Amino acid sequence: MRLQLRRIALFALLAFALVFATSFAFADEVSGGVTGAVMARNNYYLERSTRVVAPEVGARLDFPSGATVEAVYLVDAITSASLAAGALEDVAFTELRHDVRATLGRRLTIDENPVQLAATFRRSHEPDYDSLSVSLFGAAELNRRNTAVSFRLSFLSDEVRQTFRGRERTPTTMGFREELRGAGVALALTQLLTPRAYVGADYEFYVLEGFTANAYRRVLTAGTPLPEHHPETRKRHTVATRLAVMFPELATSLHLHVRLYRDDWDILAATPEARLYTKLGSFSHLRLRYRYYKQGAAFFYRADGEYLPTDPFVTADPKMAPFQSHLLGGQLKLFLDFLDEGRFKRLRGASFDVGFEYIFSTSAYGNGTITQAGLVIPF
Amino acid sequence: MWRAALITAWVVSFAGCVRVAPYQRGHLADPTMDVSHENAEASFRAHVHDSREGATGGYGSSGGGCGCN
Repeated sequence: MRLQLRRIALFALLAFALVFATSFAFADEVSGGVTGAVMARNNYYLERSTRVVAPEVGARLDFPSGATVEAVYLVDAITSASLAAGALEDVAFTELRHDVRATLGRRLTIDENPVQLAATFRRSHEPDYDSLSVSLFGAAELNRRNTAVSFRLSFLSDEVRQTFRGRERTPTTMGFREELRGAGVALALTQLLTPRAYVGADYEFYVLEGFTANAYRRVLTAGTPLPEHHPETRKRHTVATRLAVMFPELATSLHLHVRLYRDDWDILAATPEARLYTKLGSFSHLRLRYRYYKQGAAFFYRADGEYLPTDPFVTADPKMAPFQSHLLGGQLKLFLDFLDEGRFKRLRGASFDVGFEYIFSTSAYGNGTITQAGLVIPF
Repeated sequence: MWRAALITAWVVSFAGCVRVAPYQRGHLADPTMDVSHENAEASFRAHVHDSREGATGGYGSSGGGCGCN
């Protein structure tokens, strides 16, 4: 299966490479030049026992022929205590995760309808986790661009290992190696309602097969700590709807988003979210965001944590427990369109944003904060 | 889930019934309405949520690593 996924990924990339080679060959024949943007962003996440610093850089090129190339590189510096993940031993550690994402895209026009095709390749590497994913994306604008439909096919192939977080190397941990595979399909529709409003709906199905537990967590089973053991398949269904309305007289837009989730581990979840954008002058806006999340428990979760040797599945994963959370946050975004002249005029069209969000959570992870700042410079 | 599917079908039924002309789309193109410029920041936020919640999807995010599965 892992080999097949790699072949599918390779085939998809080769197919797109052929399409885009043609695009680039004709690029010079079109009068326009190559445009694009560069991006730099820093992400910071903090909770009781985990801190993540994740700087990222990216670039996007738009060719006159309609081809697009995008690449993003992100590094996660994760400092955590194993206890935060439910392990019985509290061993602090710091890990780096390297994440590279590359997208090749192509814009076309078919029967006067704009069409977009893209293939994304993503590779994520940690000392104890490798992830390879490929997704194919297609979108079309129909009905005189009043309706947009899109699909995404995703394939995932992961390898899970163990590293030695402050402990002596043992043959057991050195030999630990598991695999996780996944495939999914997502469909989306967006429809304009009025000159001030649109509505959208998404459906996503994803199936996972392989090692779905944590490589380090242990569960007390009749007094003995045993490795966490989850079902080896998981089928996930997600339905989401969104509505966006603008109130020009108030220089304000309201976005409402509702997500419903269900999987065959019996986890049910609902996530309503509201975002309010208010313009502050001609070149900036403020975004306020509220997100509520509530989920039920997986069928094998035991609130008392007392598992029996006969239990087929055991878990210490906080994500398998029922909990709820409230997220409150704000973001200020500044568009540098006022830089018409002077030494900084190259930054005209750039945008800078800074945001902070606080999560009140009843889960074992506790409360958390997300802080982000980013700069995008078009050229 | 069935209710959600019905709502989705209801949304789909709008297709073809509404026409907004190109010259009427000034507000829809405003950065407060077209939030595609938020994709980069949304990707990290989705990753945080995926690694701390049992549910996933609906935001165009993907799993892999960090206990997101």
